[in-house]
Amino acid sequence: MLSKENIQKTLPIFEIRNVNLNYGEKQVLKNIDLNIYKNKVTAFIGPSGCGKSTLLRCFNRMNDLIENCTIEGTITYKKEDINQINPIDLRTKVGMVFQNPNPFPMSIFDNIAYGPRCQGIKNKEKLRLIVEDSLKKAGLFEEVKDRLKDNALGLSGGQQQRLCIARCIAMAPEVILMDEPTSALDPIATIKIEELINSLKKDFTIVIVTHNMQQASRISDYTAFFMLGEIVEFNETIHLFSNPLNKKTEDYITGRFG
Amino acid sequence: MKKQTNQSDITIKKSIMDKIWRYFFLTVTLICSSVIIFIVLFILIKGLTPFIKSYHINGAFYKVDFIKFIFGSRWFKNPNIYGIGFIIVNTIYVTIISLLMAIPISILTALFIAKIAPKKISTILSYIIELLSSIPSVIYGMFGMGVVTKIVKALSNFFGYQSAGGLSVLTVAIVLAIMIIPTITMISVSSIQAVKKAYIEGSLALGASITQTNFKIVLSSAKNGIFSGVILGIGRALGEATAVSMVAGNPSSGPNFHPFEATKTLTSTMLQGLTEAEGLEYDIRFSVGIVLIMLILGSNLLLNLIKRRIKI
Amino acid sequence: MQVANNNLFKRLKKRKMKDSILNSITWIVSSFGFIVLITLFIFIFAKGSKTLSFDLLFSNYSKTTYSLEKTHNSLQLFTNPKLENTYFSNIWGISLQDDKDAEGLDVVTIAYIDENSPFNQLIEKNSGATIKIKVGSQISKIVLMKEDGKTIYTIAKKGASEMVECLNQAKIISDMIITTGGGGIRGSLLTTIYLIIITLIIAIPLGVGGAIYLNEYAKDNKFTTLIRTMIDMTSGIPSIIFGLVGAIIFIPIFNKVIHSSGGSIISGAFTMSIILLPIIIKTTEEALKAIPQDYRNASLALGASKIQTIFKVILPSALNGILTATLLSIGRIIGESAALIYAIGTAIKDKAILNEKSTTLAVHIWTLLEGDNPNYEHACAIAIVILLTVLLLSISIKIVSKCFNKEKNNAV
Repeated sequence: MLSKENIQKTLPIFEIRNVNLNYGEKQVLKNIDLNIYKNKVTAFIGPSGCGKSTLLRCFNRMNDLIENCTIEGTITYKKEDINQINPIDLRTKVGMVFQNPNPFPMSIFDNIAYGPRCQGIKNKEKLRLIVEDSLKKAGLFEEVKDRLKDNALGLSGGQQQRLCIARCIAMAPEVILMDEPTSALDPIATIKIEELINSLKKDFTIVIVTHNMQQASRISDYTAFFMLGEIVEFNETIHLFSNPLNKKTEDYITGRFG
Repeated sequence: MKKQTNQSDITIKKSIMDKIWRYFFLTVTLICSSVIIFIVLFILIKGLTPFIKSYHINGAFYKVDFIKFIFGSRWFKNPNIYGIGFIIVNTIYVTIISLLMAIPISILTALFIAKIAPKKISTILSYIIELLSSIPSVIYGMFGMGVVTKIVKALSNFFGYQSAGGLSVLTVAIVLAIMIIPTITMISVSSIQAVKKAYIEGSLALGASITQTNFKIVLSSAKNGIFSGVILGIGRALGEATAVSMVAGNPSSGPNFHPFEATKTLTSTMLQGLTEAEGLEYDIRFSVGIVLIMLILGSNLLLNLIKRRIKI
Repeated sequence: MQVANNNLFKRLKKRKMKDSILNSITWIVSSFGFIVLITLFIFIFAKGSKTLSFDLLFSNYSKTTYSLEKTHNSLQLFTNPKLENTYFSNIWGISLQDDKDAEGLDVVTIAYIDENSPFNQLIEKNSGATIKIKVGSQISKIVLMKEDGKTIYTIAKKGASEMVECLNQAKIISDMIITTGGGGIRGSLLTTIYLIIITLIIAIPLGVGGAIYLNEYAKDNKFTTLIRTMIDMTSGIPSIIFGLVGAIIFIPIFNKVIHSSGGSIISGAFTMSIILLPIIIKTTEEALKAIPQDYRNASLALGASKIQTIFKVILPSALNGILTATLLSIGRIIGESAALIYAIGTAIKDKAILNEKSTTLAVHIWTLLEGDNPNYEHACAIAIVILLTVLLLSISIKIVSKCFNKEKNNAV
């Protein structure tokens, strides 16, 4: 599946081996075996309810918050078992953007400065630089630079989502997890976010769950196709969409079901 | 048209009954809602009498001067000097001190119940708070007289002050605080539980600890509801009569600011010596009642205005 | 890089410390509520449990003075229970002690009565009735007749020791003046019960009627909003104001109607009713709102009139809410003091008569503690009664609402 040159260039930042996940009695993920490669965009696609978001939430141990959730198998981040890493520390390196934009009910500045402040950074000048830098990287600075003290809830949906991305970037993570980031947004806002993801690729590793196949084919380098909690196929995006090796993949991509 | 004339007698009877009952229920509701009008009206009438009518006391005629009433700093039965100014200041002062104690305790307790405590402890503490809120005020007054005054007396001796057997500003404030903490806590618990899960997840995903999330995000998102609870608590503190009158001390002049000094509030004035009061001394309590109503309504309006400002 | 890492490490350590401090403060502060409740209960039970007894609950508040006599025939000698600070008469089988009454005067009280003692069957001089004297009664004077016909007497001022000496010299009491303890709360207990019944009779129909109108009949217009606002404003007024209102509206009215003078239980009932209206309306309305519209539609579709629907379908389904409102009201009535001080008065009585001044339990406590000689023992005893009732009501309300939710879930 992977050409030999590519294996040299790409380093897995996450290695997932034999992961099974249960909510109580129900098994949601079966035998997941996967690599997430550094500085690449990996997309998880597949019909709803097949475990994509659940797997995503494993990467920053957000599933720890759910009772009755049991996980078998290993997930390593940079060769370290994530269960051995302090979850708070892990989340500073592996950030997450949610499906519904969730800016805090405070000013734009405070939203972005929130993460750094929790880490103990108090210097006003330092915070100001971080906020400006993150907003620029998220492509939002020009639009809000004059109203940083305004309440974040006054922004449009698309702006709020970019704010959430900026907030995430402010933590200088290495990985950004995105759980259907554009499904609650209009087409124009969606395109802006997709462009943003493209530009973020060089600094961050991105894993994105999406319902939208076309989106996956546009922006991702690698794609994993999920069905009923299992990975049916995982390959470089170009190969998966032009030459799917599995019939189920082919059916999904061509829209025979979905 | 034809259908209507063919209506059976039963149906006609039913519609008439319906109409009668509708007006019956309407009347009942009007009675319920007109209560407030009667309250305001009658208290105004009786409460304004001391300023209008001349009372015949001990061979002389007395009428209370309105300005001296509002701004006065002494309250004597003989010789009928009634000044309510210092009492208003005392009431507000004592309420503020009790709030300074009650608000932090209520908020932290509410946070504890809603977010931090393990489930069993949370349920038990929640029930304890509910019980505390249903205990009658006279029992809190008795508790204040029997226990709090002794504590305050010991405290005042420690600092070298002479207190009137423990009846003091501090005692009133503590008793009031104990009485309003359940109110504020219960409402705050609901507000904290209603904070959107998305905010909490967002905060944790940014690498904040649970405690940081609780204090920085949860509390600030719940601040509207918590403030409503505080407003309710203030109303209760201003209007509390029995418990306050049992631990206040009722000096005749003021205002009384020192924590170990006895104090006189609007409600304690209304209850003090009621059993033997008559004539002017009885009627003047209605005037105090007017001031009390205005204070409560006024503070309610002011606080609700502030609440709208801090919402966005 | 090293510096940055060290900085990071310091910051993280600082955060951990800050977090633990905040958490510990929260745990400690939250125990405040628990501590207050425990202290309250300990205080009340410590002071009140000795005084609490069936006697207290059902006897008169006012003292009764008897003039008694007794001839003691048996030769039996009684054994001294050896209670502290008492003097024992082995002929009569009683212990006396010196004490002070509520006004601070010296009295002699009976500390112990042996179960076979003739003091259990003293005879009242005028009626000839047999009176059973209880521990705690005060003896003011005893006149005794010795075997040789001479009379000796003693009075309380001389002290218990001398009184016992006197008693041990003779076996016939020709006159003894004893005053019973009094302090019982029967009057206040009855007043409270009557008040609850009459208030509920007035307030529940009014409140439920109001709730029915607001939920079933009223349209969403300015008039309805006005009515709701006015009822809401009523709930924000402190109860002492209602007391004032009761004093100027209800007392004069009922003075004329039922010939009361000053406060009465009836005027108190009307005062409590207007305090309770907002609570009853709100609780009943919640219950009415929870009834699915389908019930009403089904009834109307079967040809029932609106009022038939209300009485036959809606009210029965709302019974849980009305019951909760009733329980809440009872709790509020028992606990109310300030309003009733104005509207009923503070005269403690032995019987509860509807058109006379009286006290409820809560006001009784206030009266006991007002003034120069607060009587904590009695007050705490009454407080125990009130607290247990409040506890019972609180549990009942929880049970009723649990039943309510079960029914709702079953219906769904």
